Amino acid sequence: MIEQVLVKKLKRKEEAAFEEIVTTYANRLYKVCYLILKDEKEAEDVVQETFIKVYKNIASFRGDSSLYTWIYKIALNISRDYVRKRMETILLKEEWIGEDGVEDKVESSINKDVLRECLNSLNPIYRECLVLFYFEDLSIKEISAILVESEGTIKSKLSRGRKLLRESLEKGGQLNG
Amino acid sequence: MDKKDILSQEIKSIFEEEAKGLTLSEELLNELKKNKKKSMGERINEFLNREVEIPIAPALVGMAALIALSVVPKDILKNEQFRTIYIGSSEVIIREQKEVTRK
Repeated sequence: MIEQVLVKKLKRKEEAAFEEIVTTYANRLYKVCYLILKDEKEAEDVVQETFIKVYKNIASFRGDSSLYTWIYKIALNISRDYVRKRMETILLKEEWIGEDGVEDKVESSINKDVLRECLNSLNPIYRECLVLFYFEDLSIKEISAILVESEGTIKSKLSRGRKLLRESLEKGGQLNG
Repeated sequence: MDKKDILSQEIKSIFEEEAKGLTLSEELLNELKKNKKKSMGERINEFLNREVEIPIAPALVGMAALIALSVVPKDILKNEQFRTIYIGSSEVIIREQKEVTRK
């Protein structure tokens, strides 16, 4: 179904349209939320809350962004609330942290298990960007729209996340971020 | 930002491995489809179409009580006490109380 038609049907509260967005996005969102939160139950709750908000607020969707961006924005906001409950948010300066010379040295010998461990213990504010960028294959512009942050901040977070992973890999899995 | 370097590919591969086979249960998906905020029309329809189970025994007792109340005269339970005095060919009825209404 073309997105504009789908949105119209959603606004008319047509059952079939709601079923379509659940079928299209629920499992994708679940995976993304799980990768960010690392908790299946919380990820399920986030997906549920997301769709309830979609049903409730679809009338306010103006079409400034695509429907999936809007749905992801809701889901990521709720995920952040869950993360906030667990930990304090690290404030990031809006700056570009460039690539450094460590990369070449590490990349020739990546230990996948150590990297997995590092990813799991990485601060969720970096992990959400990495998940959207690498797993969902979204562009920096799209991530910026979803997380409502500037493209510079997203680049910075991605770069900082990668840097932390690289440093951690060098130390054999100890993460500072 | 490069997505083709080794680190990027490994990150992507780990994410894909971890999310592999991760799906919401059919039950939850159905719940999501049903859990939408209902419109007023849908709520009214739902209310009108809902199944109501009425237990027979209490229903019969209730019906019997209703019939009895509508059939039996209202003043059947009133115990009117009066005396009749016959004076010649006249009959005088003396009530202890009588409801009167002012017109």
